[in-house]
Amino acid sequence: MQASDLGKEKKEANSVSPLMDIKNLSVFYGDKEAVKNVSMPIEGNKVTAFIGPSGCGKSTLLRTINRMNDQIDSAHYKGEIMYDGVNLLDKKIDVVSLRKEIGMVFQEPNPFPKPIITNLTHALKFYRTKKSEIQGIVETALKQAALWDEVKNRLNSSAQSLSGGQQQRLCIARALALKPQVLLLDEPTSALDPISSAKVEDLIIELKQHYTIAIVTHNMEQAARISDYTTFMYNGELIEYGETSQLFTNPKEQRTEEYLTGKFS
Amino acid sequence: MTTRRFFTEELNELQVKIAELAEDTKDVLKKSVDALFEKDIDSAQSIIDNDHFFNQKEQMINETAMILIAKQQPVATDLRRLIIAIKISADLERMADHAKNIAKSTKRLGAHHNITINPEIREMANLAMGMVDIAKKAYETEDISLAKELASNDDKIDEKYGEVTRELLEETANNPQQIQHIMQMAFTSRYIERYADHITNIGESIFYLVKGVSYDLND
Repeated sequence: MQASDLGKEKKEANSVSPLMDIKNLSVFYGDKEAVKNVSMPIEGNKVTAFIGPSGCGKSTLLRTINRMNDQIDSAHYKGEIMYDGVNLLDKKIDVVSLRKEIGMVFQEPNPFPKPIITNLTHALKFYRTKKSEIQGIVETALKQAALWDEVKNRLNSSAQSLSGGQQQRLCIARALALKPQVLLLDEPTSALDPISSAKVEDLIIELKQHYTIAIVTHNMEQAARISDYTTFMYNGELIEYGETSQLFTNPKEQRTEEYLTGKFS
Repeated sequence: MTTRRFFTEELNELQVKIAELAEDTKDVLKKSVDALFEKDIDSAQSIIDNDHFFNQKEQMINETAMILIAKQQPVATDLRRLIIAIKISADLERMADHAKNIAKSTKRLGAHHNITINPEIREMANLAMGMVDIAKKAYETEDISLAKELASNDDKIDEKYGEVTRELLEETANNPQQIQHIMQMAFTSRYIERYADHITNIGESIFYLVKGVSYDLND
């Protein structure tokens, strides 16, 4: 299956059906079931946060969405992740196309040790983007990542000369350059100082106008500030999924209440 | 001490302060009604002079709640607990204001008037003080059945308020020269009726704490 088959018809914001539908998803590392029979929607043009203690399966779930776990030999799945009528877990899916459509940014900023501009053009060249379009795409992606003004006069400087926060926004720009529909963010601010974190948070809120965002975070205040929906996971299970405003003020499940209020043992 | 344990202790302390303020608010109503019936102007003046105590207590509770919100960034039940602490302390402060208003009416009536104070006013006050006890228990035990009980007691006070008003209206026809005094009596019964409304508000706050949704106990 090619990239063109994925996300061909972009869904409208606020559409009734979710952009993505996770159905009875279980993820195993060998015999260990890291994600247990999870079903939930990912709504389009919204931010969905995943919270829960370390090892609860939230990062595994996120990494399953764009098949990053395929790189782990012992990883295997059950269930479906439906996206535009396609099951993303289907063996026939071209994962390279999938990752163009569903971009990912990790905990540690990981720019290529190359000039800033190369960080964006590298993948564009790989996907054979027309030379005439590249300059415009680079500028748009850097503007969307709120980095353009800071780097426009030094695009040929090494990406490693940027601050941690700038590097992380560059990684977001790198993902945006491929015009994905979904952005997966795995603890994108945990290695950043508060000011850089605030910039990334502002950026996430800005980006949801154009992209669907799923974010794993250990920072519950961050989840409360930036997300529209929150999923609380524990021990591989989805304990509660709901609107962030409801989950943080009046959680339905006792375990969610205990985790949010720090009474978890 | 863990951060959570420290926070829990501070929440408990706040709860104790609110319960104490509720007890003080009950006492001041009793004193104000006693002063009314006993024509005790000194006691009425003392109630008026000490009203600042309730304002200070309310401010103290609000400040503690605000500091805890800022420092602990609470969510879920913890957040609701702090929100209702602010709301309940405001209701208690208003209740103390109504007791103070009764004391002011006592002063206006003076020590030498010869009109009979309607016994229903004492009954209303007793019912209202009983409501404070119920509200306190409901708050401490987070028992919403007790919170709902407040609504039926409030209805009884409303009925008595209606009776007092009718009697006073008749009195104005029979003793038009006493109208200034009769007006003070009408105000007094109104203050107790409003005092009880604030206790009903407290019941609603307790309901919100437990259930996480707003509830109108008067519906």
